[in-house]
Amino acid sequence: MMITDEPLLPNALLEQFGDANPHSGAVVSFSGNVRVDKDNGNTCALILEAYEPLTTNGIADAINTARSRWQLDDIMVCHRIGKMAPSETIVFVAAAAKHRRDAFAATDFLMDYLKTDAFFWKKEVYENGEKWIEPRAQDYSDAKRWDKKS
Amino acid sequence: MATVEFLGKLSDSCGPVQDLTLPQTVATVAALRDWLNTQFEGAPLASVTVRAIVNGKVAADTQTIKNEDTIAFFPPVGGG
Repeated sequence: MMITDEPLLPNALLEQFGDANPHSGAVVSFSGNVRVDKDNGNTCALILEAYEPLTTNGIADAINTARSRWQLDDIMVCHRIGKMAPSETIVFVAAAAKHRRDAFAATDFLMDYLKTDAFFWKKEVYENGEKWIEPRAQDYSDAKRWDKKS
Repeated sequence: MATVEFLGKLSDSCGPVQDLTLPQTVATVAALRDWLNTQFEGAPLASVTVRAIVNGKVAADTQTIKNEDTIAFFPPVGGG
């Protein structure tokens, strides 16, 4: 796991992750990038704040939860903080497993955690102002899919 | 003196950090919220969606606090 204010290079991260897990039958990865939101005037930047040690500890707990729920060989979570420009990568998550469904599910679960429960606060900066971002109802309902039914 | 941090959008109206001497009557997170609302005009600390962290751990409103503590208030996390 890595939280950094340096640019994330998803292709290099995926290559590194694949090289570290040559015997996994399935490798799934997700990259989330800064998008241009034309509804609010063009997005000029995204600013992301964390609060340590809660941010790191929370992600570590989510990784442990994923490991306990699915059969995984490895997990990688890399998250940017600070100021980033449109098209830059905000987050990179990868999971390696013997079979694909475990890798897909763990990646999806970790992204839902990062979107709704991780200790991050995000501000979008536009040509004509700025706005703090909070999860949408859809983000919360996506995250609830993982609630244990037992 | 307590260190009070305001995270995310709360930093726009209150923060990001204030070193404050808490009155003796301010002994819980809930009392701190009420007191801060009198100190910072328009502080959105009363919202139930704003939660607190005391010395690095998420804390309930009933948690006791003292002057050497670090208390952070934070709005909903995530999104984007």
